[in-house]
Amino acid sequence: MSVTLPDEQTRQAAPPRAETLLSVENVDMVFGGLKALNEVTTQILHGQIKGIIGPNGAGKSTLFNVVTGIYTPTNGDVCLNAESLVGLKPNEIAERGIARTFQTIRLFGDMSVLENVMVGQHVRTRTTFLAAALRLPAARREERAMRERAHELLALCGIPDKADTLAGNLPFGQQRIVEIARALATDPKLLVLDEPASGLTGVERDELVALIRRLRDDGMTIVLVEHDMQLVMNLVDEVLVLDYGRAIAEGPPDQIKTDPAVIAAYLGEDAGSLV
Amino acid sequence: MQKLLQSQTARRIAQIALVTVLVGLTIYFAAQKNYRPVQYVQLALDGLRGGTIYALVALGFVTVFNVTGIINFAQGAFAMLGAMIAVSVNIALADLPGVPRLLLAGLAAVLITTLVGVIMERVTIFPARDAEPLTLIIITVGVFIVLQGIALLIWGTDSYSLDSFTTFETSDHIIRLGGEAEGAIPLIIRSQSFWIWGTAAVLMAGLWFFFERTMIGRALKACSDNRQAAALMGISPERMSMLSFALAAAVGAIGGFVLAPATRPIYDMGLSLGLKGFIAAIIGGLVNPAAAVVGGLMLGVIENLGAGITRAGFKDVIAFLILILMLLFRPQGLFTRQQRVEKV
Repeated sequence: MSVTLPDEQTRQAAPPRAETLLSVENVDMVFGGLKALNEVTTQILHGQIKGIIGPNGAGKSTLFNVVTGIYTPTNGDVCLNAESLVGLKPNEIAERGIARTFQTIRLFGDMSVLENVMVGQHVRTRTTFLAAALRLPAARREERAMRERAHELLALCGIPDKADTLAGNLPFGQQRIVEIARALATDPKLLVLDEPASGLTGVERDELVALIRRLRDDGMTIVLVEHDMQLVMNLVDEVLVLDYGRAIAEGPPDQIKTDPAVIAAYLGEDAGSLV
Repeated sequence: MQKLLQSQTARRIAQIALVTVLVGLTIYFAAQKNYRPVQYVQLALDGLRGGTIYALVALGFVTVFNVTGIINFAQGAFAMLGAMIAVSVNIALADLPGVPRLLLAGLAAVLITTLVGVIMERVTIFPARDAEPLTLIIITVGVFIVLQGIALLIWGTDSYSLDSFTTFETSDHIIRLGGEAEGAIPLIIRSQSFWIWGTAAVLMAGLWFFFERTMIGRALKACSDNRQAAALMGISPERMSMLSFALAAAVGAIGGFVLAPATRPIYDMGLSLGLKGFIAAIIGGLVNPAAAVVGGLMLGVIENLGAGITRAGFKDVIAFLILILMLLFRPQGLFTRQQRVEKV
């Protein structure tokens, strides 16, 4: 099984790791009287895996929805490669290179696994409506290339034999893998995973971790929200901790594990003061 | 829980009572007419022709509804425009021989109507895209009235005729099956019926190919499956909305064009076509193209058989009775087992 991204050759040389890919600056997100995000600032560097953790309702999913354009932040700025994403629609942000998966799986259930992945490639296609309708050679060539690429992505994700299965009929864990393959098909610069391990069995979880590691080794930048603390701490380069919409700590996993503010947030104020 | 059970039982009883009454009425009327079997077949065949057009109009409803969540009541106007534009071009090109003349008429009808569909979406739906679906539906009703008004200005209140695709004259071929024996009744099929069935079959195969085998078709399908997930894959919901209207307009126009020789096209034909197409789409559950086609064919056959055993004027009564019964008892369509659960 291939462990390299198929378009590795065509991808431009990755910028040095220290360079910022995504920057979130002083983002506020207010719903009515509720401040779901309060002056959140963070940077995600090229090639980094960043984990976002925090108690329920801390604003993790809200932050994802702001980054992917589902919400427009009340204040602040989100930039991908120094280009602001605020005000762009989700499909425009996807075009600029951010792809995501969902906490609750949102595959196109009536399509085959392969078709789901091919839909992800839609954003990178050039064939016009007319060319497709007339079956021009260029359109057919592109269609064939996309089909091949989709097969390669499924192989990369370890499910090459599921191409023709109806996505809705797959076991839960594999659906999640298909979501990742579909996100990869958009050829993203940043992959955003919303609770990728939730609901997975032990084996599925291990496969997921292996896949994320493979992707990182290929130079993919990944940000993930996850409740499984052990998984986060073993996998990521850096952790951002949210609590009540605020970023209360950020740093390498080892540092976060012993951070008093984090322990307080997870165990309650009293326990925190004991540390 | 008990209340729910009671209401379900009451529903069941009402359903059974209704079905019994309808079956009883059907048998009563049919017995009075004393038709021969071949006459029933004739009624069903004629109904199948109208039903095929309803199916095409219903496909337009389903396409737009799946992608945008809007019930586009201007759909009937697309079919009307298809028929009327074809008629006008056919008259304007009277000097040309039959084949190129009708081909150009059909092409013009489809292209212009598609353009109307696109303009409608850009001018009336796109600016209001954040409004409630109900608001957008009312907008489509308004667009329908406007389109019909424009048609009235252009074509007046006269009814027209379009040459049959087989004879290239207003008179159509009639094919007789059987009836040679003394006293036997022949089965009569107009050749235009074959054009209608053939065109619809080719069109449906084409649509299937478009949705299953092309990237844009797949994107459209993805958008109707889950709009937000599709947007996050980089598919623009707004472009897909425009495309769905273009597609619905084109399919409607083709329906109007092939129907034209079998009817007398008139500026207000869109109303009944649109409503019947809507009923067909409802029978099919509004989201399933194949079920909508079956719904259209069923509606055509049932209303024509019903009118045959009662009176011709009862056709619409029967169609709307079906609509009311569907909305009351099976709003999810005849072929859907359970209601689709909307994902949050």
